[in-house]
Amino acid sequence: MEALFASILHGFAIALTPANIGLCMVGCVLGTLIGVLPGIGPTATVAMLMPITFWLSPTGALIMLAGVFYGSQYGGSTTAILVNLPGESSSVVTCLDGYAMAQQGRAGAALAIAALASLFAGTVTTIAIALGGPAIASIALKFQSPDYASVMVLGLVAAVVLAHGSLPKAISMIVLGVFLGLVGTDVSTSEPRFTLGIQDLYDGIGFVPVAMGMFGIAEIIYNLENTSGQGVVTHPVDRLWPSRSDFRQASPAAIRGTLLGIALGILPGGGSTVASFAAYSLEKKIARDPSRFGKGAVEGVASPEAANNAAAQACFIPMLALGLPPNAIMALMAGALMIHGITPGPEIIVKQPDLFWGLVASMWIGNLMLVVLNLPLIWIWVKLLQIPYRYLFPAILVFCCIGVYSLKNSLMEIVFMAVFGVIGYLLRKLQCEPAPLLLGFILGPMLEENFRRSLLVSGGDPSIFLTRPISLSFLIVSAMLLIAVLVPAVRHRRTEAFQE
Amino acid sequence: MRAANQDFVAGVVFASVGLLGLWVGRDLNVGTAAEMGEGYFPLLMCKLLVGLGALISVIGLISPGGPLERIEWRPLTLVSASVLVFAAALESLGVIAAIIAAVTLSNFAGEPARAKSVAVLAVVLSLAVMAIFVWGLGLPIRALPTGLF
Repeated sequence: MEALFASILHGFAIALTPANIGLCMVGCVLGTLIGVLPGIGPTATVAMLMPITFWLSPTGALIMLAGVFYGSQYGGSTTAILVNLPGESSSVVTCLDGYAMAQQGRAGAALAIAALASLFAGTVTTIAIALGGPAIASIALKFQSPDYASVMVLGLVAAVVLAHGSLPKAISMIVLGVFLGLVGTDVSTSEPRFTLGIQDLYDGIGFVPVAMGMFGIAEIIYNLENTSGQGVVTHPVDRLWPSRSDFRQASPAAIRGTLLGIALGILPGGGSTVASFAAYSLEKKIARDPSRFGKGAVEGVASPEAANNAAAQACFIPMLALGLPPNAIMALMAGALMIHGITPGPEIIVKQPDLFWGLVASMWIGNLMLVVLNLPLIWIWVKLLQIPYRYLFPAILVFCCIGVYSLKNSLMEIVFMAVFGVIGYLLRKLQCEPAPLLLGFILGPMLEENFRRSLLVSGGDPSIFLTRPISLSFLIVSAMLLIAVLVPAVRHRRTEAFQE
Repeated sequence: MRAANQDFVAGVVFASVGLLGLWVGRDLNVGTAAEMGEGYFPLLMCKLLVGLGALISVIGLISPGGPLERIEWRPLTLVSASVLVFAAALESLGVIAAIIAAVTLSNFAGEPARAKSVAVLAVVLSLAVMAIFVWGLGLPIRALPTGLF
């Protein structure tokens, strides 16, 4: 306990250096900005910022990128409440009751409830990471290659289960991602694979051009066919402080949302969007009078907003403690660490205490900053909502180009980004989500290495994956997840959950 | 065109990528499970893709999913062309010319803005990029065309 306390204090010492406070601030402001603006999400933004993180310390980089992610959870609710448009996919459900409250002239109360619920969730989750991260890492240190291979399989399976749309398509996207991740020179034999003789591919396909193409460029193309590029009209914001009865109703909902968000954030494949949907349906199910929902129920704002923020932060636990990014945005963060030569995994907490504890402390500081950014300074974001998309997307485009170029000073990287933008758009037209592909891309080389090493140790006998208890249990959970999705009853529920 | 349903096309795409991979990687050394060559794992993935692709196509034929969504060629070609134009201009003509070209071209990808607004956008973006990447981070990016110095 004392050691934990010392670690947390150490974390604050790291997070409170002027540079890191500045980066946390930049991350939170940027996160709120892109959260408020519909049409650009945290995944694309983190991809765009990757090249810049090259010039930062790994700790500073992660503090900033994390700020973007949880900051966007705060910003997303603003748009949902004031305009009835989700600023982020994770604030879709906030539209239902948040906008209803705004129509009743209680926009200020809804905004305050959303921000305070998020702050509460952020605080609890920060503590959960401080306690849970090291605990999980200490178990993970006992992992050997078969266990690693199996935990990656679990992560990929879970990503499939929680992705929406067809199951075989999501699996195919993962396999395609793994395959693309393997292009380049093989580490063990030093033989080039699938390089087609292109010099730039000998080091493999860069992670940044793939991520920026599929999330930045493809998203622009996709948005352009849907938006006419106009600005939007917002509801006026009046009194910011919620009433006492609002608080009484919102507090237990925020607690439930937080716990649910942490659980779904840790699960591989989970994330803030799934968490907010789950929290909303939970509230509706346990409410005494479910008919209030959709007409301005305070719980319908508090619980999903707490859940999405909790999940956004809890995602870091598997990434930092296991080296297993549970979703696309964590895959990007893992990529940012790899650019600095740090491989995410259980050693991080022990070997890079500055990084882990600095990040944990910065999350709490960031949440405080976000409440200030989102309540007293709300009028700035309301103004920004009026910027039409047709001025935004060329800016996003240019920043993507410069960013991807600057990483290696190579024009080829820009070309690869364009190629993956087109591929990403076409795959999306076939209803194939890009996130599983990116996850496979990141995990592919690690999966191959551990698979190879396991079978080398066992002399080619695949039963090694079943005889080790840790590995076996991961595989059983994976199988159960897959079976669960295939069982008609669950399948039906899953479709329902995504349609709601 | 009833046959062109989404799932069928998606399956064909995945299977083709798998087949293409098997063909491109035909000379790779596969090795044995105990001592995998460089081809073992990637070719395994390609075979999986072929299998999954076939499965998806068959499912698509039996119970057609949604119809194939229309591809909007204008944003697709103009946005990717803007990126490529940026790449083409960056090292020879400098970053400012690249920005002007990309912003101008991409403007036609959506509902075009007025020429004056596009010009203002290009100037603001040029300044921001110069401030962040050239003056701030000190990247070796040329601002103006070669020979103007």
